Amino acid sequence: MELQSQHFREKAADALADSAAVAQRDKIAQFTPIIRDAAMQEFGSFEALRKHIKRIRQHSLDNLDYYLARFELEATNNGNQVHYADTPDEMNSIVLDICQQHGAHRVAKGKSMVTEETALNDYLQRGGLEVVETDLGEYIIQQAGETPSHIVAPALHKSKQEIRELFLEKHALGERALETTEDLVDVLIICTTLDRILPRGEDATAMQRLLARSTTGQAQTSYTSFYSGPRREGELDGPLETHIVLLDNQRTDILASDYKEMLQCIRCGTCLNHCPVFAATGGHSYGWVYSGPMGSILTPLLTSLETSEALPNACTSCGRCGEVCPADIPLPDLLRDLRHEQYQQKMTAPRWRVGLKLHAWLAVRPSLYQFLTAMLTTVLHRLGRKKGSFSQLPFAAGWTSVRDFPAPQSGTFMQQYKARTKADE
Amino acid sequence: MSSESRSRIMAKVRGASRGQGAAAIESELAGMGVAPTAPLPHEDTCIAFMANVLRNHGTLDIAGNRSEAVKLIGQYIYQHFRSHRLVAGNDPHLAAMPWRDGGVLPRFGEVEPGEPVALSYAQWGVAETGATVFLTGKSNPSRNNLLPERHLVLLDVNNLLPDLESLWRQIEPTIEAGSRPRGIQCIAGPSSTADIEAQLVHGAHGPRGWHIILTGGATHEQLQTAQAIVACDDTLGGS
Repeated sequence: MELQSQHFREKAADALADSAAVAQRDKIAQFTPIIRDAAMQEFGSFEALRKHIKRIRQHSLDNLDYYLARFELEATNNGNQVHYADTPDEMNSIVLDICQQHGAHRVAKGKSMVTEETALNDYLQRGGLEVVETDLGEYIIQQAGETPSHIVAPALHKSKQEIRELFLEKHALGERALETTEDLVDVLIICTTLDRILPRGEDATAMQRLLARSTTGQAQTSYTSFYSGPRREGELDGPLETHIVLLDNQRTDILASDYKEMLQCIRCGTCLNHCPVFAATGGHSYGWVYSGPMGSILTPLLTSLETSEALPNACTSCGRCGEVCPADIPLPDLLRDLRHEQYQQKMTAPRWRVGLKLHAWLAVRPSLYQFLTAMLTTVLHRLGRKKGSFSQLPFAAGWTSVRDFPAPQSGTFMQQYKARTKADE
Repeated sequence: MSSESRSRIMAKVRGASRGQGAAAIESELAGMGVAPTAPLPHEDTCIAFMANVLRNHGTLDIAGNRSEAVKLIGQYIYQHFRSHRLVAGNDPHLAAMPWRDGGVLPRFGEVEPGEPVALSYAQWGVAETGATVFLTGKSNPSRNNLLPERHLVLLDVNNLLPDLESLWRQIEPTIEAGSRPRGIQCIAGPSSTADIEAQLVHGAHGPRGWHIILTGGATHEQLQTAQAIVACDDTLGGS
């Protein structure tokens, strides 16, 4: 998928101008946290589960040399062929080679964000193959020629009516297009990234408890399959050959960096569902595969901080993503670290740099800070007393161009705090 | 294998890992304990399983013996397809059923296009998730669990397990003995999707019906209790 994160601001403005889409996103942003909270309450010891999985994931990443080698050994012993890909292009090339070796013309593809990351569909199609998405959501957006708007529910931005019209255009009535695929093909190719290795089967099912509840509010999904390898002698079905392609694409760099915790992400979409910026702008504004808070961290790490400069700043610092993340990743901290990195690397616009410098200078001088804010509050209070708000303010056009700025009602927080403390004494 | 990439990736992974020995890693892992499980809707494992199957939009029948199980299967097929035919895997448990008692005409093998119903024997059931568990292989083709319009499952209540950790305790000895199952399928409901406007619908990718016939001593009273639990959920707007 082509990176377009540099156009975040323009895309967000366009998204906000589409009132029907805004209403649809509002509806989703309201109910998804409710179903997740209900599932969490019903589970009871959700926090203990969250901490347990965090420990397991940290342990796996701390000892990835051991677990990766062990995985390769066991997978190979089970009859799988394991491939390593440094880059997206290398992964795509491995997959195309396997397809060509088998004379394949048609690829049935399961839902996979990793293959969105490498733009596998386009690569295979350029190689002469027909690719058919088998997940309903992915199938819808493939037919529409669009990209996923959400990592879990890729077609959630489309209305039932739009999908009806699309299907009537593409299909004869009664035609069945989708089937579960993994065990029904001759050659199975599994694409994943090397950081997603768990020590034991029980860790996978424990994570499933966390994942399903966080994602859809369900206790589990209808189908959970564990594959160990290709068809064995005397078996009626199952793939004749299985390949596992492990992609790096910067993960080993992240593993060695201060952003290592981001590799604990389980791709549940909970942070997207709780993010006010995602709710307002929608997934397509982010301009790449991953959106919302996790996307605002992963996209710069997997692509370039410079190109996706707007993403770490697409944050209100409300902290909701960090509170709800089932993997307990400190998402607000990582977003702030990326902004700090941008500042250090002089990617931040000069006027913002000056503003931030001034704020930092003032923040370490509390007496002066309190004096100046008290003065400003008093002036704004007096000037705005009559109307109650300002439609224009110097240095605040970003705010006042879209909404009024409320006039302060009385003193600053510190002034009120001091007054109340004195009164209590 | 892309050996250059492998060497490069492994070197970077080694550089970023702690470099502990296998014994220390395994010991650290063992010290992390087990994950908390989901609370069961009833202290009786069988009732809890039944309630979760119903929550998962599955349906249930109770059979007192094998003959009754075959009759119930026959009735189900006739009711939905006006037919007596089904496809069943080459599982000895299924081969030994008294098919004539229910007038059922089984074909043993894997389901083919146009065959609307298949019967599978579930190795285990898990109360925590209301899932039936299948070890895919010679006696249990995956197609039979994934492709028919309606999937019937025969399950013995004596093979019910409380949670997913208990399931792994059943499977691990097989793996340690060197005979790892090719596939493990946990099926907890008919095929479902909420990809369109987040509305749950069944049968988009696979079976639209998932029906379990419980043998081995489950009672209708237990089923009634499970139904009451689910009715209470519905009243409270819960699961």
